Amino acid sequence: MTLLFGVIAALLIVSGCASDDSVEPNAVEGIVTEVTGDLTAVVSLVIMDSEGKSHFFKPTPGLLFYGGPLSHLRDHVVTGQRVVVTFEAGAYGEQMAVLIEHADADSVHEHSG
Amino acid sequence: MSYVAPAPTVLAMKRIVAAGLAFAFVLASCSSDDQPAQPQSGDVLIGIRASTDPAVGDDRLLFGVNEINGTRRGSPEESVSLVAHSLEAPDNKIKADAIFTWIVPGSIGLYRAYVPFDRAGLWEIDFTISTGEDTEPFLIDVQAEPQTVAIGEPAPRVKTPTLADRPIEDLTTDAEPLPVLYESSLDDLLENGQKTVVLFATPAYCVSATCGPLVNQAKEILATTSDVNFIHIEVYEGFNEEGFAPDVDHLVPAVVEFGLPSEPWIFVMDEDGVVIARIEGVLGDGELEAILADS
Repeated sequence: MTLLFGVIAALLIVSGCASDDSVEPNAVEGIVTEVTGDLTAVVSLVIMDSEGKSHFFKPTPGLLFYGGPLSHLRDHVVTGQRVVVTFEAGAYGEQMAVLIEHADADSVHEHSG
Repeated sequence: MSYVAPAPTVLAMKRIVAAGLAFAFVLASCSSDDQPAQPQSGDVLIGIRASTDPAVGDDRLLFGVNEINGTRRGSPEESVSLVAHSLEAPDNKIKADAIFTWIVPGSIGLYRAYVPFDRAGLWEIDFTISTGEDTEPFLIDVQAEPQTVAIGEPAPRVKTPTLADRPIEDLTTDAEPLPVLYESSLDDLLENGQKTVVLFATPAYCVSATCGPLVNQAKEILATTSDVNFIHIEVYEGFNEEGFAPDVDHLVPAVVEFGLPSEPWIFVMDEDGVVIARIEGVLGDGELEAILADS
C-alpha cells in the first residue's frame, strides 16, 4: 500500500505542480507555509513569495537546512522567518530544492548534503 | 530492554491515511496560474497553520498570522476570531475565538483556538483581527482520525528508560533537567492510579522553536502540582553517541507508538491511563493547569 501511495504521489506531483515558467531564474524567496513529512524526513514544502504566490518544492535527497535535518524548516512555519529556495527542474519537470537559505544574508547557514 | 508495542498495524494505517491527506492538501495549495485565490496585496494578512495533526473533534488549532513580506504578527492586544467551514458544507459555519500565546516573549507567537470539526476533509479558516486589516482565509486538511493517539483512547503502555537504566545525561538533552521526570517508566506511571502528563520534546534537536519553552513551562507546573505523574521523553535515543543523527533509526519507541508527526507534544492521561488532552507546540498560561483541574 505504501508503494502504491508513493506511485500515486509521484504522478500527482508531476501532473499538478510540474513546473512554473514564471519563476526567474531559479530561486524563490518567501515564507514557509507548509512542510509535509514527519520528524525524520520532509516530503515537500510550500513557499509563498511576496506577491502571495505559492511555490511547491520537493527536496533533493540529502538536502540539509541550517546544517541539520530539513525538518528544521518547521521552525520557519512557526516563526514566519523568510527563506530562499534555489531549485532545479527534476526529471519530470518538478521543482527540486537544491539549496535552502535564510533570507537574511547575514544568517545563511545552508549546507547541502 | 523490551518495549510493549500495541496495535502497530492500526497506527501504521493511520500514518498512511494521514500522509495521503496531507499530500492532497499540499497539492491543493501548490503553485498554479489557474488558482487566483492567493493574496495579491501586500497589505493583507495571511494565516499559517502550525498544527500538524488536525482531526475531527474538538481540535486545538494553532496558527500564525503573517504579513506577506514575512513579518510575523500577533500579540495579546491583537485579538483574533475565526469562522471555519468545510468546503463540502460551506453553510455550516463554526465560530471560535483564538487566544494568543507567546513563544518568544515580545517577538513571536501563535494563536490557538478550539474548533469542533464535524467532518473530515478540507476546511477554510477565515479569521478577523481587531486591527481591522484585511485577512486571507487559509485551508487546513482535517483528518477523520488524528495521527497521534486520540482523546478517549488508552495511552500506549510503553516501557521507557529511567535513571535506574542510564545516567540522566543519556536520558535528556535538557541542559537543566529535573531528575523526577526520569525516575519512572511510562508504563508504570499509567498504572499507578494518578493522572499522567507526558512531555515529548528534544530541546537539543527540536524541529520547531517551541521545545525549550514547553519543557520549562512543564517543569514550572510540576513544581506546583501534586498527585500527578510527570514524565519527559526525548524524541530520539542515542544522542550522545558518535555519529548520531536525528533520523528514523533513532526515534524512541514511545514516539512511534504515540504516532507523533512533529514535536513537542504533551499528552494528559486520566487515572485510568486514557488520553484526555493532546497539546501540540505551545502551552498557554494556565492551560495545562485547567485541564488537570477539570478532569
